[in-house]
Amino acid sequence: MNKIEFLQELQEIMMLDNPLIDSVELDSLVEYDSMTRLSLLGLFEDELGKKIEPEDLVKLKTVGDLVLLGGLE
Amino acid sequence: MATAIINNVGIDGIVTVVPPKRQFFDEDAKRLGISSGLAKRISKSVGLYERRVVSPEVTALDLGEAACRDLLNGLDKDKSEIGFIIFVTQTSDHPQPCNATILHGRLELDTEVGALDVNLGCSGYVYGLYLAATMIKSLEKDVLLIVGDTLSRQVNSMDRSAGILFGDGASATLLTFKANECMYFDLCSDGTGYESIIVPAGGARMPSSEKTGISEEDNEGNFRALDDLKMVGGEVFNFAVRTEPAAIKKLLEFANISIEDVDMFFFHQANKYILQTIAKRLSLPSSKVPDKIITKYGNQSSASIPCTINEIIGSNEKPLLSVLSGFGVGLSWGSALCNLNLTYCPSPITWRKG
Repeated sequence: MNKIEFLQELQEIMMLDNPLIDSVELDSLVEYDSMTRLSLLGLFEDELGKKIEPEDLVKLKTVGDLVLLGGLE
Repeated sequence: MATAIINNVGIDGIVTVVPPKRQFFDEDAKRLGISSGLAKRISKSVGLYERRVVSPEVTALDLGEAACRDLLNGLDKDKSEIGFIIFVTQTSDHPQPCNATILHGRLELDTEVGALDVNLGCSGYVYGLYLAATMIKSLEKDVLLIVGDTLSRQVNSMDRSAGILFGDGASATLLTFKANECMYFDLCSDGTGYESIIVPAGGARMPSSEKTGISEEDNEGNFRALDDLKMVGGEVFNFAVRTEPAAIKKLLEFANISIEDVDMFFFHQANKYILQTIAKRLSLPSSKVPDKIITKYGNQSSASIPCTINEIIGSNEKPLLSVLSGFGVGLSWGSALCNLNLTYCPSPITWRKG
């Protein structure tokens, strides 16, 4: 999975109408909730080969931080 | 626990009983102020649509009794053939005595019949099967296993994580001597994760009090008291999707069975996304992994595996080589491999207290 595919998947998980970019702050997305974070746990491990814990996702600030955590930058 | 094989035992019949009241997810979402967008995402991902919930006067014991009566009737089983009853529940009628002894009295079983409860949740069906199977040979009698909970009454209705998830139900399963049949088991625990799913108060460590009954809001807007069930979703997700695939592989390797040779995988119906992730990691075709029971009944704790069997397969069908696997509170997980060749296996029964 590359960065574009990851961002598309993230958009789909959160059911957003508009594409996401790195600078979007996660706090500004009401859809970045526990349901989204749970889906990301599976996505990171299965598609990106990164085993992450729930607390790893809570401390991130932006969409770009998610991309970095996934090793996609 | 190391893996184990128990020879000359099998399951003869299974009955699952659910209460009549249907609680719909869209009603839960409205009550909790969940936006329609989030409700759609939850419904799609977790698989929630409706669940069955008890009225206050009905308990897991009542549902279990109804399941037993239908099972014994359906199998035309003489009660004198039963040597032991096991009741797996976390919502027993009283702290003392255990549900199994009360059920023993209600069913008017002989005093020579032993009875005990097991305090386990979503892994409890497989643990109960193991205990029952080990008893068959030594007792030379049938064993009646009852599993079930009323967790809808253990959660805070204003908790968005647990308050929308659980459905009530109970199942009765009869295990019996079956020549040339066997059951394989793998049972495991990780007590370091005990706080991931917990009712903090109400036991000896923290007795219930006025204070433990007061709901407080957490940082995600969920309301919960110390008397209520708390579940840390992310931790439970990682636990389930990491332990289950490895446990299934270990069990099948022990049994020397190829994963392709298994006809069906009956997982605890925790959450559709968890089941799909486990299935994906094991490369299982979706046709072998029922994942829609939660849509109809909610997460039924220990009763969800037998309920899935009752929903998917019928009586006297051809034997299905099946994996049964549950995971949850404890943390605890268990898997069994056996042939399901059931004399009596009706669809889940809606039961009304008469």
